[in-house]
Amino acid sequence: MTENPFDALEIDPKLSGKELTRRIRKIIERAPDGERAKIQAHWQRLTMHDDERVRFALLAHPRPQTADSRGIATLAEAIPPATSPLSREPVVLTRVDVIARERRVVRLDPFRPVFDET
Amino acid sequence: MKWWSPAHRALLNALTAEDIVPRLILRLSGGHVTATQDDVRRLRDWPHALKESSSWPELIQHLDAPQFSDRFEAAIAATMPDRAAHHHALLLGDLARRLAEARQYDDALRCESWSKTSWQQIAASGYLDRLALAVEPSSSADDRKRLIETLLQPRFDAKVAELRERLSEPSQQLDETALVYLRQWFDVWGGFDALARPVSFVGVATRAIGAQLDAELQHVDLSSADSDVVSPFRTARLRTKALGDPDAVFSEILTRMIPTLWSLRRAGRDETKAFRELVDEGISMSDALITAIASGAALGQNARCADLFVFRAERERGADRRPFLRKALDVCPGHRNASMLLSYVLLHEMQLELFNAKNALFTAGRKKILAKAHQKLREAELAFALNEDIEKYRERFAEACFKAGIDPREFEHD
Amino acid sequence: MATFKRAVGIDLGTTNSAIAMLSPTGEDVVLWQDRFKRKTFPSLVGWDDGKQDWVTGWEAWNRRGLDPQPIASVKRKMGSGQKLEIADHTLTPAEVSGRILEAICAGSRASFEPQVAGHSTVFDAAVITVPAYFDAPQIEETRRAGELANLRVLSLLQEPTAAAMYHAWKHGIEDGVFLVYDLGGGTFDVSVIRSIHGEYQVLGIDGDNFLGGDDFDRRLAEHFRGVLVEQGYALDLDLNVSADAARFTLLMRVAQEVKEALSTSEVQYVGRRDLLIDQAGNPVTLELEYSRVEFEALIQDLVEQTLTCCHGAISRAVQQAQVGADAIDHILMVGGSTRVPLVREAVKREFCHGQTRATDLRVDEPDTCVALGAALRASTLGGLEIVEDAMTVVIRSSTYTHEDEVDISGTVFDERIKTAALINQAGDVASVVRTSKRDDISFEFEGVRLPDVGTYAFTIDFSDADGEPVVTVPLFMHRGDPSANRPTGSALSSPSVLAKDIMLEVVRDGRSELQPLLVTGTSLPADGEFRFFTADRSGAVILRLYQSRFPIRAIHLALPEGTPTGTPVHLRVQVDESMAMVAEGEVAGQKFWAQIEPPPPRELKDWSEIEELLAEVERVATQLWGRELNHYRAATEALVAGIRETVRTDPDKLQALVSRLETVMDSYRNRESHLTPAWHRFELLLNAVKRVVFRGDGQRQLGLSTQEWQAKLTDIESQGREAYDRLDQATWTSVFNQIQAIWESLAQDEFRFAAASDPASHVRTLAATLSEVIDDLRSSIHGFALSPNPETAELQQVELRKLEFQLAEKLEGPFSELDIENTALTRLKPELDRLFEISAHLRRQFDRLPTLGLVSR
Repeated sequence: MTENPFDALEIDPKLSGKELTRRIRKIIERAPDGERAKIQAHWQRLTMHDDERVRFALLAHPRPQTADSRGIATLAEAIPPATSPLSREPVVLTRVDVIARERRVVRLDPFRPVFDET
Repeated sequence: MKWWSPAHRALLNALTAEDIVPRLILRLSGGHVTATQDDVRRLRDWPHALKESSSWPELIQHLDAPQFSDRFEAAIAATMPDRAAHHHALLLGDLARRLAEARQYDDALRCESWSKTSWQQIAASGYLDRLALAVEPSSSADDRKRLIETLLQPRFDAKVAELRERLSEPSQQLDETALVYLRQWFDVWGGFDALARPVSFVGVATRAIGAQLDAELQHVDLSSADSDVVSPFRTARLRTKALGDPDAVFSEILTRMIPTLWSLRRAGRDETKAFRELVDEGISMSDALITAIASGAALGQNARCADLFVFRAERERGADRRPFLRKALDVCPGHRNASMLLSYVLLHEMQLELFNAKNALFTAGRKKILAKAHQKLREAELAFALNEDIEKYRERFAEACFKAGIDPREFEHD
Repeated sequence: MATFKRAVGIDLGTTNSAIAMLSPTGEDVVLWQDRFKRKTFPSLVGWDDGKQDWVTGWEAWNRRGLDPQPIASVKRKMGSGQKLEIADHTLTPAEVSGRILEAICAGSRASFEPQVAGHSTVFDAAVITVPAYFDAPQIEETRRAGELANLRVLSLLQEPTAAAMYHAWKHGIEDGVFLVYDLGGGTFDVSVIRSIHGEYQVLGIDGDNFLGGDDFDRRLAEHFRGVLVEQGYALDLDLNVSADAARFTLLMRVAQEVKEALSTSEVQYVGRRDLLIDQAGNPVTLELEYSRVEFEALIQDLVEQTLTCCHGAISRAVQQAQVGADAIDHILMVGGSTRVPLVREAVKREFCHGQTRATDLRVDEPDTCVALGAALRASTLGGLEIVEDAMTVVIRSSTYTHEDEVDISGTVFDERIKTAALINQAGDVASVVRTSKRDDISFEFEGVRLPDVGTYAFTIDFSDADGEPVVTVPLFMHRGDPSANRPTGSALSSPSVLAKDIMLEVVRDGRSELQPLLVTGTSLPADGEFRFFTADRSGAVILRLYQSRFPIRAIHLALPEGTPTGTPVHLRVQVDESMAMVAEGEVAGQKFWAQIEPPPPRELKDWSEIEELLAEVERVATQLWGRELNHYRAATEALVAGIRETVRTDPDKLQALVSRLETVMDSYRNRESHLTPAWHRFELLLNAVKRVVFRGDGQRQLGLSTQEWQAKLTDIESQGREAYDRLDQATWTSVFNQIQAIWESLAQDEFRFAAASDPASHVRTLAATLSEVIDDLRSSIHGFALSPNPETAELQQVELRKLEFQLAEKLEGPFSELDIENTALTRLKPELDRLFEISAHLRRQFDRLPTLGLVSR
């Protein structure tokens, strides 16, 4: 039997058709060329018949939001800080600020300002 | 904790799953399946769902104990939260598949049966219907019902296909253990019709064995002395044995065997070992076929079944033929060959009666002896009126009467 | 200054072509128009003797009627293997099409050039459209044409899908089902296409590669010719003669003008003095009045044919996705020929009166929407390339949005690059990310805010590990009005589908049949894995693949001696987006791989061969009856009518129709239309059984009551009839066996008291029958027609020699040695029985010859 698209793509079966398409579109846009055909086929199977989507949903493991399948490190990073943010204003960095800084990914998240570590 | 966000919950679930899922899988699979990273990721919600069960404290306490599976069985029998049962239905089905691939059939069957219990629970509780509605809010109750009723159909169909495939393997590769497992699989799921149309295991097996036999016989040249005609039937018999010897399969085999025997006989090969072996194989299944005729499952196979008894009778001499011929006539009243053969047997017996009583024809018991002989003659005539020898034997009887000084006509109105 | 690169979309049509490009901001899709604002470019290639050079497009258009005649309608010859002659040149269809593409690209380059803020926009890649009903060789030749024009062909998009994409983009339709009716100059396509959450799925297609507006013109030209012949002109034209072909072309030109005029007026006066010179050398004048009503009567049946195709596409959509007519939201009319009022009326009547959700036809840029849609697809596939300092950055995500936040993702081809910074117009950093290495270096800015409607001028700075700048490129994004959604589809969309079934010849119950592997409508690329089994011990396996009943490739594998029946055969068939096909697999440890070549073009038939074929159509019809005859008529009648018509007007279409008819006839020639044993034997047995069980002597025959017998026999009879009608040999055999067994069981008792037959005469009859059986077998073996496929024929020859030997050795010899008159019956009877058994075995072997080497399911 072929793999259940929900399990293969690690998507919550309870998502609406539209949300589902949005999620899979994001996955396929970031996938290497060799994997696209497979992702596309999964999407087809989920959208060709409504019945089929429901069937796959019943045959997929429940995957509520709290069962996020991303890596532990990524999940840990997603945890908001325990202290309340001082300001909700977006932090604007200049090009000079950033390029002078180290090489790590910098996220422009108001909850996680980039501190000078030196 | 109040300030916990979904992100906290996600991390905790992930960490719990990393710890618990591999241990659970190892225990449930009887120590044969090691969880993969994919399992752990796919099942991040499982421990969380299990925790909502009242049996969780006990389960977690005995997680590494050998009797864990008993406790688990009791827990799922006493119903689990629906979401956990949904995980179990899927996971245990998957574990069963992996165990069967590793030929750990006992553990596989145990998982299958737990999986079935779990499916039963979530079908009966309305969980599946609610989930279907949540996934497709515009679906009608009828649509959902139809969908749920065939949810596991592909799984059943795949098993049917596997059974067919296993049954068509050449005899030297026949995997009897795997066939036994398949039979037991159908036993586990037998009568379960909530999520798939029930499949007749026997029906599938019967058709598969019949088709395979046809394919093999196609290449057998029955007119040639060095063709092997017994093996296909023997293999079919072997397959049937692994399936628990269902009656219907016997009738399927016999309906092919009897025309084959006729062909052999026409080809002048009825004195061969192969012919005898085939007849013996057939006789060992005939009771089943007779049952099938009686139950209407093999309408019209009466004559063929009777043929088999006639072939068997031919091998005997004299009165030893009678029980087989009687059986033939029981199953197919008036069976031409059986009647004919029986008629000759009876004439022969009459002759024997008269011969053995040669010296007693002058004693007081002579009338009783003659009456017995006449009875045989009448039976022979009744059995097969066209028997050309009857006149000859009637004369012999008259001759004996004459010797005994009794008018043969005296016996006619008995 | 950076240069933007966008792939273009090209509609390479039978009569006209068009080219378009999505602007670098994604805001607008631009169609090329020449300096006279003409939006299409005639698909013509001519030779100018004066200039000694090629001419294309409008220049070639103006040379129609001059010698040498420009090459027209080359699309109909794509993939045919034919060569085209003009002046002293011989060209392949790909070369002709390549010249058209080259010319349209050259013409459009200057007008696409200046688009955004002084940066120039160029192209070297394209999506070219093809009819949905094109086959692999036609698609392949189209790709080659693109390459000959120095284009990187990103994809070949099916025309109806392109039209639907443009329509959905322009009108912001995210969800809906389209029926696209695309009637071009030379081809007709219909597709049912679903747009779902902004992505596309093709649910059903149908069409005809040889049906288009040109056929209307030919009908009308032929009508004019008839009028002229009646007036006494010598115009018995043979289109294979170039002077006659030129005469007909001139008539076609008039016809086309009249057709166009009748789109707006009810009656058209035609007056052409000295239109042409007839075969007797007299100048011909055509003068008549012609009405729309007359024209519509002339083309009515062609329009009906298109409607039949529409229903074909809809029924495929039902199969594929349970989408029927009642789920269709929009009827989209595409192609110049949809201007004919009758066409619109017919489609409207068929689909806009409650049959679908559409209440009217949608007509929007019918001549150019295909090119416009192709441009959208080209932008999705190719992204936006930004070239600066010999470095290329590809923006994969869309540069247009109607929302206030977008993700921008792309790739760059320089290993040194480690970070990317998105800088807004004010010079501030909007986002900085680390690049990641996959196939190339990729980057992604998530949630970039575009608060207001308008165009945003960003730059992206790429830096190396030390933060040293490597390259900076400009990027223009456009945020449209919140209501102006512009769905273009992404990699999730599957705009190409398989137009024709791919099938494998298999053996089932001793008969060969075609088993579908990949069915029409499967989205491309497609990949199917299958498992079959060897069905005999011929020592070989033949995998013969068909495309809609037309054989395309046979894979012949020799197997080791003694490979048992039932050995698995693994087969995998892959078809890529341009329908290139590969088959690979394994049997008994042997691996195989085969590129499925396009089928060899059928030889062109001359008229006498065609007449022979038509006579055969008649002959076969007399041998069929009942439902099968109806099917046969439906399959052949329209083709025969078409052949009779096009022999005068359209040699290309004539050959195409002949080839289709040949395919239909092939399937009837090879068909044994009757099952064995014959129906009358079944009836005979059934009646005999009925006579016994309904005799009314109160006996429960074989334990069943009369009522039970009644039910049982009715059931058996209907099963038998159904199996026989469906030509289902397996079920037929099983039902026949059952009635035979019942009869045997009943007959035992029945005949016990019957008079004994005369044994001597019985044995004599047996001997005579055997002699007939032997004769029959011998003539069957000698008269066996070998398969036209060489692989099968080879296997058959080996088997026939074996059979011949066995016939002589085991049957004829022993039979001739029997002394029938002087042998004791007790010895003769068993010997005859034995020989009968041998003959039965040989017959079985013989019956297997046609399916030798085929696999079973």
